Amino acid sequence: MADRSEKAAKKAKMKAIKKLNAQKYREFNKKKKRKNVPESEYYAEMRDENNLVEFDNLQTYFYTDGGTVKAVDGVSFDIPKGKTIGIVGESGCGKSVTSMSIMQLLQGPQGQISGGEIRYNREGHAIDIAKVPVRDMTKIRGNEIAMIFQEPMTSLNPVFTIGDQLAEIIELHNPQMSKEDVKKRVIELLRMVGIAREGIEKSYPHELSGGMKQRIVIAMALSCNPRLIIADEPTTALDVTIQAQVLDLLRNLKDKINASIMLITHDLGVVAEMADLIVVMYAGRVIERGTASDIFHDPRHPYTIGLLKSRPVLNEETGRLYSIPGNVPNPINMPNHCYFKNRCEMCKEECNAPYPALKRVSETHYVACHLYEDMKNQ
Amino acid sequence: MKQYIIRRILTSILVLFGVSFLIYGMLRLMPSDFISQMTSGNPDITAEQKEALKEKYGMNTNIVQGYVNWISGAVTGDFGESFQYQRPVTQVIGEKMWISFSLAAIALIIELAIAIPLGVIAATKQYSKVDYGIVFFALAGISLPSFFFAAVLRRAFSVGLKIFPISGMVTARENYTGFMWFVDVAHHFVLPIIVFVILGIGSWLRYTRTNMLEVLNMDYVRTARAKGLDERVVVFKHAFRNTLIPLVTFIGAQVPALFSGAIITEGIFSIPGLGQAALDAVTNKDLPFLMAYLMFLAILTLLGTLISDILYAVVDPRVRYN
Amino acid sequence: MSDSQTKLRNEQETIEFEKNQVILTPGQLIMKRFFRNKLAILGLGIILAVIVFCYLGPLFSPYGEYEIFYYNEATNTEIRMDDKKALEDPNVGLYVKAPISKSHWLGTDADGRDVLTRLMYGGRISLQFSLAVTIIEMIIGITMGGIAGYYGGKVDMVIMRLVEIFYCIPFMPLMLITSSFMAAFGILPQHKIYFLMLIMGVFNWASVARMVRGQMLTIREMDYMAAAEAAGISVRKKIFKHLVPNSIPIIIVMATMDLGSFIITESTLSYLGVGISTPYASLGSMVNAVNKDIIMRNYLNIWVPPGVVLLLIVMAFNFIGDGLRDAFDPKMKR
Repeated sequence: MADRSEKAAKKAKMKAIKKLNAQKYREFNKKKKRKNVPESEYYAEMRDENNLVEFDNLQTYFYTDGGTVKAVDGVSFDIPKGKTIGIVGESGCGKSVTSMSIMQLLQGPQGQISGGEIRYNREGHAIDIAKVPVRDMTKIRGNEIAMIFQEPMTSLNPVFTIGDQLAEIIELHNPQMSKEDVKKRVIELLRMVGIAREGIEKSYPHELSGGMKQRIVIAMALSCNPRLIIADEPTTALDVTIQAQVLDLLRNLKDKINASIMLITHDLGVVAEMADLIVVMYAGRVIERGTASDIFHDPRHPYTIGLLKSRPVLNEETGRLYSIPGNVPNPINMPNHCYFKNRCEMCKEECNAPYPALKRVSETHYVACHLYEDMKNQ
Repeated sequence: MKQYIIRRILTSILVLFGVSFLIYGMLRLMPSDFISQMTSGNPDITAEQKEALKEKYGMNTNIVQGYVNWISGAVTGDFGESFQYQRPVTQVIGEKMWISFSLAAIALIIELAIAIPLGVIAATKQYSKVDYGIVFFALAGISLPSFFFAAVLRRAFSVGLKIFPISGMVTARENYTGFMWFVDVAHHFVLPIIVFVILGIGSWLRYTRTNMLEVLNMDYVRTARAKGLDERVVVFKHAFRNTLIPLVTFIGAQVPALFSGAIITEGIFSIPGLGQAALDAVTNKDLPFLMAYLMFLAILTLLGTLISDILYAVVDPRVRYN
Repeated sequence: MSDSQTKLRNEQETIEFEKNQVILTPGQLIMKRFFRNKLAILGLGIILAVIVFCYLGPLFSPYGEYEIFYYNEATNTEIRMDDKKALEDPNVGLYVKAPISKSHWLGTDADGRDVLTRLMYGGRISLQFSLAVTIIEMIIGITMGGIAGYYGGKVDMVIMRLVEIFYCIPFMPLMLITSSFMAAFGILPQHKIYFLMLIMGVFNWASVARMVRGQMLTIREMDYMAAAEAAGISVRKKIFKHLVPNSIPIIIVMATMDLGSFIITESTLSYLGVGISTPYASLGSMVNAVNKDIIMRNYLNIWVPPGVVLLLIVMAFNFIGDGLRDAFDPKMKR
């Protein structure tokens, strides 16, 4: 009997979900399809002119069959000009979704930016990327904001030569360039990423190794001198020696073209080496952010502390590596309290209270945890 | 590559021997003496021919011996003489297959011209009304029984509206030549081609749609979008170029089959192609023709797979045969 | 707070958590994807309707499968076959090509039989026939493909050559030839139908075997098979735990599609007069009436309904098969 009513309840819930999803798909589809949107409609004001990008309460939801997944739920942080910012967290915490949101590359129709702003300090006038229609987005993608993907093995189109694939993006964003100049630029880019073998531009992706492919992807990202480079786990698929090379390359090139980097990784070692600022994410929210030294030397959130503890350190006699118990929860209809509560070792009575806001630890350091209740709100 | 093709041809020849033996064995295993059964209804056959047949098909010996007799003729290109046409079957097939081919080739071109764009559109708009409409159209086409659809078309357009001729390839007693002949044939071809296209378009549509869907989920398509390419360029250049790989191999595999003739459609519309000849051969029990025709089809099938494998290596830079 | 208290609260939380979301099993996900496909639902509806029509319909039909109707021209009355006395009247003739009327909703055919009733029996035979052929094909194909994929090596070599041989045998012409021979040798229709099933099944196993073998080879290469091997899971368990459930989706899809295509093949043969023959009704042989010019012109009620039923059945199987394929393959979902 109880079983049946439960089933009925489940059915009703699924029906409600279906209805909501259908309605949302329609809504978003309509918004995306609009043509000839005047640029002024998505103008925005930067809070600080020194920032390149400001995420302000970004909400990216996935309307799935099982319910609405709040993959990114109220994320706010800034990317200052010319700095490298590391986004850290376990798999499924929403780091990649954040980066896909700024590129507007979310898997439709489920994935949608449902709220908040992504202010981008464009030359001329700042804009809100969350509002930009797809048509206008193509001028930004690859040109002003470029992305390096996680899987170098599958990120390149297998049927075109790497030279063609590089030339394509250059031609696209620099229509005034002649064929000769494009070709020169391709060679120059290849040399820049350290593969200058004669005639390499005529080879197909399957003829190259993983590390080489990743260099091509990097070359592609840098080809139009973007202002922001998003690197989504750029070294995860590579072996350790290549990893270091690729990171070096990225760091050097960034300085050359004076871009900002948004580095997404779960590898704290990579962040320590590269990042000026660090954002720690958990279950779709920012739980702590600060400068690299804030996070590494004065971690506040129990999750950050756990992450740092679980990192192997050289020249140190430790027994087993520490591991945080449990898993990242599936963020469907999450209860309104700290999501880390169930895995937290320092959990107290207050933790049942509503989700904690970001509190200020110092000028640059913020944390969202009930342990620091006495500190000022952001 | 060359080595690979040679090896493939050698195994194909082996398979052909198997096929011919199986077909021969099946016909031999039929109860009672099938030569006399087949010839009883055919007035064109002389007693001499009957004897020659018995010897040729080894009816006076056991199955293996008989097969050896038949195959030794076949490998030298001697498939015997057709009962119906009183000419060597190879000659008859060689003539008739071009009629079937022209019909099937035109139909294939029309099919592809419609199916590929529609398949791509359906894939890019998955689960939309357009997609449902296209998939419905594709599946309904596949499901149509050719004889019923042909009957409906003839009732509607030939009997009812009297726009198209009901059957045949040329108007009898008119003896058109030159351009008029061409127009006349084209006029007769319209209904059969509609049957071909509607029945055949579905599988192309579905094939294009499925492959396109698969490709659209690939990482490199996302990369192409991240480059800032227009969605149209992403779909029609980056994704479509990859969809073309399975598509081209599939098309290549179909080319030999264009010669085989469509038994039902040609039969209904009395188009004197290979298909109708085969249907007549069944009714007239023209054994030499049928044996040769079946072998011809088997060769076409094997040729199709070989072509598709070769094309695979041509279109996909990743494939190299050793 | 003590450890046990935390634990207790954690459990409560977990329960609360689960109440707030719907967790779908893989099976439920497949069902959901399938039922979201409107065409698949349409197909399911058509098949159910056809089954009801063919299997429950005869219960409501006042006429028998082979019943022939007569007509007394003098009195303008219709006479049923078992009314022996009325049949003796010299004015009685076969009640052929009767128009649509209350007693014959679709009229009668050229032999004086009720079209609607024959439609029910014809549909029934077509369904049963193609089901039998599919089962035969699947049994042979899965066994052969399974053996080839499982043992590999020489066994695989031999079976795959066999598959290739069967693959290149032109099916339709061969069917025509064998069927017309069967007719020539005077095999009873009652037996012929079984021969046809067997021959069709035997000549179609190759594609199933090829698919099952391919599937087995891919699954064998997958990482989790290596993991299973490393874990020391026995060979038989390996097969049944991993290979079988992984192949089943494709087999189901293939079987559904084949159900439709065999109905087309059977009806084509019947249309050509070499398939299922009288006294059995078959949708194909019913459409065959169209070959008489007068029927094609004037008696659409005789040949159109069987054609439409045929189209509906085949279309329904294709819709379902296509829906299943999409539902089973998560990659297809975007």
